[in-house]
Amino acid sequence: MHYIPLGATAALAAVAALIFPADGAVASAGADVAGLVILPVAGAAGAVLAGWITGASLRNMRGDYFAAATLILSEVFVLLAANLDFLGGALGFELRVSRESLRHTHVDAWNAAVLTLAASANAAIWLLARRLSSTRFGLQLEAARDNPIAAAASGIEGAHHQGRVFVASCGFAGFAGGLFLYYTANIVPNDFSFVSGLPIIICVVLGRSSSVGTAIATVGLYVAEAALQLRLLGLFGSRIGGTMAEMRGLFMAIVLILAVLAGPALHRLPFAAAFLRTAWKRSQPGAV
Amino acid sequence: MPSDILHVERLTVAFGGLTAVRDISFSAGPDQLLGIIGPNGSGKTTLLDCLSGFRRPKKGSVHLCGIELLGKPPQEISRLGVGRTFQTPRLFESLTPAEHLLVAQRTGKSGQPGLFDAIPPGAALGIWNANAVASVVFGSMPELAGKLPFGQRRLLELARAVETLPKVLLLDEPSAGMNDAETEVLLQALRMLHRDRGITIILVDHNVPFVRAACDRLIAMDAGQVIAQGLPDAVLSDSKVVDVYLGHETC
Repeated sequence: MHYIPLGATAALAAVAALIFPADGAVASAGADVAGLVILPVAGAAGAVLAGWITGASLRNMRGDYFAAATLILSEVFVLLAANLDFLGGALGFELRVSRESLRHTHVDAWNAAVLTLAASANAAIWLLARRLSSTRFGLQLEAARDNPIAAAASGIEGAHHQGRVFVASCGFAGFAGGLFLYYTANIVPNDFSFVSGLPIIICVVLGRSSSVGTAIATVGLYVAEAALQLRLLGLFGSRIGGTMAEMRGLFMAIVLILAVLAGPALHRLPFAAAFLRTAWKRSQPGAV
Repeated sequence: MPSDILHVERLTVAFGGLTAVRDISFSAGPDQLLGIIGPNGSGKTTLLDCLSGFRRPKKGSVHLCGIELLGKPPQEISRLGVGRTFQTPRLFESLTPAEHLLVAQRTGKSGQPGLFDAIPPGAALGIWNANAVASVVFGSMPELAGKLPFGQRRLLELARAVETLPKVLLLDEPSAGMNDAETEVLLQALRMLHRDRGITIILVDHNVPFVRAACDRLIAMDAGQVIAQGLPDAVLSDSKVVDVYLGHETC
């Protein structure tokens, strides 16, 4: 997942070089505005291409093997980007923006524009996902996830459908990558290495196939990490608090291991909750 | 034979040194309800796996209405007209029974839905009532397939297979784990599909009274080979079938 923005970087860098010359400053405000549109779109296009190459070359792999192979490919993308001079090499790609550009002259308006675009893109993706879930295609995707063999026996092209969604997801990630580059004006390949992707993997493992679960897991993990980092666990200033802050990577690793070990139990949590709810209702006076 | 829907010729399947199915040939005509019986390990399920594309045979050929099926993936074979159920029911646990039927329906020229091919309101109920098995078997639509009892899971799997509009339906132990009432419902459903829809049905089962009542032709297998075939009564009284499968009464 995290390698897709990086895959996009290669594509968007070429476009970026045209409107944001690496050896000069961005002179016009127009170029800055154009960047807000062009960079995410170019990022999406580049990531779709990277995703299509990944999907096509690994189409016979399934499950864990597919996950492992995509991680390896992501590392290939990282190494490629880190060794291409026109992308800035290991130091990363930098947008040179002049003091006359909008981000300096109209800071608040520029921030609002970028955040609005990011929020709009999120809303659009959410709406798209909702729309897809109520279509035959969406139902077939769910079916292929639940039971690939039964899906095949029902004539469903599960792998093909999943491939289309994978490529589309790459496009969304690439769009985010383009926007991220535009906002930070700097992208470093190593920011998208395997290690940096671990927190995202933990969120997905914890949240399992549920979108809400993944969202809760993401918020929970980042709050926990921030609490550890800021020594907010009642240990402020103490030596233990400092050690915990330094060892928060270890904390994340332990959470990942526990999530894998307790995976089936986590999956049963909704059923356990439903059981407790029913038992509680039946225990109420007047319940049949 | 040109009138045959399904024609299997010298089919052989081997797992390493073990030959699970050896040189099997048979045909199934339109409207035929063919039963396959035999002891465990005789190659019945392996045979169904080959016919539905889940296993690749070592040699032989399988033709459906003149089209060679071998080498094609299961989903394509399904779209060509071979429906399938499994020994252990395979359902989509997070979908409702009605959604099972919706996902199995053929749409568009290729039989595949478009990306934004919306489901019209009320379609699920319409499909549910129109399905030959579902309308007979279930009075209501429970919330999720994962909550259905075993017998109904089997029947739902059959209803889903029917929704793919098969020319041939392959059923692997359809009555296993069912009580008498559910088996009777299954029998009625099979007869209806056979009689009203003209679907050729090939079923594998160990429930001999059920097979005798349902099928109009039987094939008996042992050690990957056909040991007898013909009318049910003739096959079930065949000495080889009695020896290797049915057994002799001792008192």
